[in-house]
Amino acid sequence: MADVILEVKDLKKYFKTKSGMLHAVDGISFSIERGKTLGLVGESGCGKSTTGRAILRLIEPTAGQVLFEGKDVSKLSRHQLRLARKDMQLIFQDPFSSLDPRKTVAQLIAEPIVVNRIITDKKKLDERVAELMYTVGLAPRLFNSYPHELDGGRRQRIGIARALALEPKFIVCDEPVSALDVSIQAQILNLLKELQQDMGLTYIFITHDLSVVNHFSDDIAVMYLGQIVEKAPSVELFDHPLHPYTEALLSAIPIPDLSERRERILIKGEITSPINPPDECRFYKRCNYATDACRKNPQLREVKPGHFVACNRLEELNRL
Amino acid sequence: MDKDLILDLKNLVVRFETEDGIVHAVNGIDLEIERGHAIGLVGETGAGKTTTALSLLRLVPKPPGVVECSKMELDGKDVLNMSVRELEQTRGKDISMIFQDPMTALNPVFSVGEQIAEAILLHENVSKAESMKRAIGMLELVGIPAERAYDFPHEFSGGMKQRVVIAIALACHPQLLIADEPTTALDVTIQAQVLDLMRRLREQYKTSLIMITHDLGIVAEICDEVAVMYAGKIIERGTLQDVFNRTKHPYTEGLFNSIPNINDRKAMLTPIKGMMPDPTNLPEGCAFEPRCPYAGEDCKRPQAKRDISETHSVLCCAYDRPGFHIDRKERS
Repeated sequence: MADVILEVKDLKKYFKTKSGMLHAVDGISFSIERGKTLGLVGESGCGKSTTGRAILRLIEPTAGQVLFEGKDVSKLSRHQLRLARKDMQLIFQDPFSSLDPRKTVAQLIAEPIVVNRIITDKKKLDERVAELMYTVGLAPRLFNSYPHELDGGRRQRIGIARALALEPKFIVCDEPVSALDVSIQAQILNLLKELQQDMGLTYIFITHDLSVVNHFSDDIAVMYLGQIVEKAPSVELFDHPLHPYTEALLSAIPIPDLSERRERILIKGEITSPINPPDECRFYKRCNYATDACRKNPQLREVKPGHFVACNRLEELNRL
Repeated sequence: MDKDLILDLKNLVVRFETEDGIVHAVNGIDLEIERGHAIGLVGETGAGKTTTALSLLRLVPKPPGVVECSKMELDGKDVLNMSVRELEQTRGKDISMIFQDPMTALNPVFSVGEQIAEAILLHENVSKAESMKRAIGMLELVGIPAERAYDFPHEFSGGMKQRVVIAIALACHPQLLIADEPTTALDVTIQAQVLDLMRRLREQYKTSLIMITHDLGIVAEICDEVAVMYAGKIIERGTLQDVFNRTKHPYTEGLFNSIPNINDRKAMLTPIKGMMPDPTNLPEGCAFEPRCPYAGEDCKRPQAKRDISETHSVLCCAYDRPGFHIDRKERS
């Protein structure tokens, strides 16, 4: 049987706003096998970051279960949660605002170890920090530097070292390379991939950049307005997208290759409001194939082994 | 026969004289653009793309900025020595710019219709009512319904705001449009809509375009030519075919290798090692030399532009070595 490290069941996160309930994450379920990467893609406001945070319980889920190695994270006490967080870490998007500007590189990397009282001996702590710096490719001379002296790529390496400091099993990477230039982005992506191979890490990789996620993930889940509309192994998803939204999203990527001129599928309008969404397909208003059949909310169902889609008209459109 | 140039820029140098030293942002750029052509100005953060564009509009803040060049002609007019009055007539009329961030480019206390009408009133001899009528026409052209003309910027989404900014920029049918990362702040499906719009409008008005971007994919979609910038210099210039399929500069090669390939996901990325040099302290020779896998002793002296073909040029002395070529394969 597959070794499932994380299982999410019908996770919901609603925010109360003046104009009504905002359905940021609206009933999503998935599981990840140990050592694999799940890419979570979608456009701004689709709930991908909220999902990542709700899994780590950095925000309290409204409903649903998050089973990490069989334990329900959403039911842990504060103390138990603190212990569990050693195994589950987060790498933030913005290396410019996620680091305390008054701490040195060494202090920043040591912080999680000190807070959790893993190593109390000063000399051993320095050794461990030096080891972590080596692992993420930070030169030893940066030991006493401050974040403002470093460029985005190096800062992101600090963020990665902090996440690794407690030897986690599972890391949520929330847009870890979006703020970086391509040449630096490639360095960080390669580093994350090497770390995964060396340490057997499991990742959720949250991004809006489809070419990055394709490169990086084993499975990809596409989110739209708080729901997963399609989930499949990366190759399958890119070769045979079944949901009209996935299809449009993929065709919208500008490809830096002249031999590949594709027909672009433009979708009309913009993302609709997540506040009190009607009980119909969330993509209904923008979908090029929408009919009255789409006025009920479709279930995510397995249509091919490993390939899940939430679309009412799938059979009718003959896309399989 | 002489080429019909909309922009003729020779040896542009821009530096910022700050307390911490002199920042060499642009270090000798020649840029000729033929009327009706679209050129992509590509490079990473700090390459000098935006500074180059701002110099063309004379918008580089002075001090600390110092702009020097031997020639800056827009449609035959000398921009560098224009009076303030002439400049005002030129900006928005002959040359206009779309800024990266549509959230901050619009005035929050005027309706979007008024902001488009303002540009038209300023440059054309029309009545206020007439300018508003044309503004509404422009809105419809960029895909915003006429009844939204009296709405304010905060009532629009990012993609819609960028359409408004495009409408303002095109309201007076400029000869040259500079678009500075116009879709970077937008989601991919909205980006696709905006790029599609820009392409259609360009065909309709025959506007020349400078597209500033870090995304080679966007260049491939919308431009005819490419200029790749690094540390304030154009290091490779050519048609799309030249630069994408017959790449010559090691930095351009590095850029292509850094991008995840959608069709070959198993391939490990080949990043460019190290970082862009400090613009206050640029090496005397090739600025890419410390990061370049092909670097040799000859790279430490100043580089000269080399013409590969009529359309294709590169700034790299390695081609002086007999039989030198980069690893990236030529494609047809």
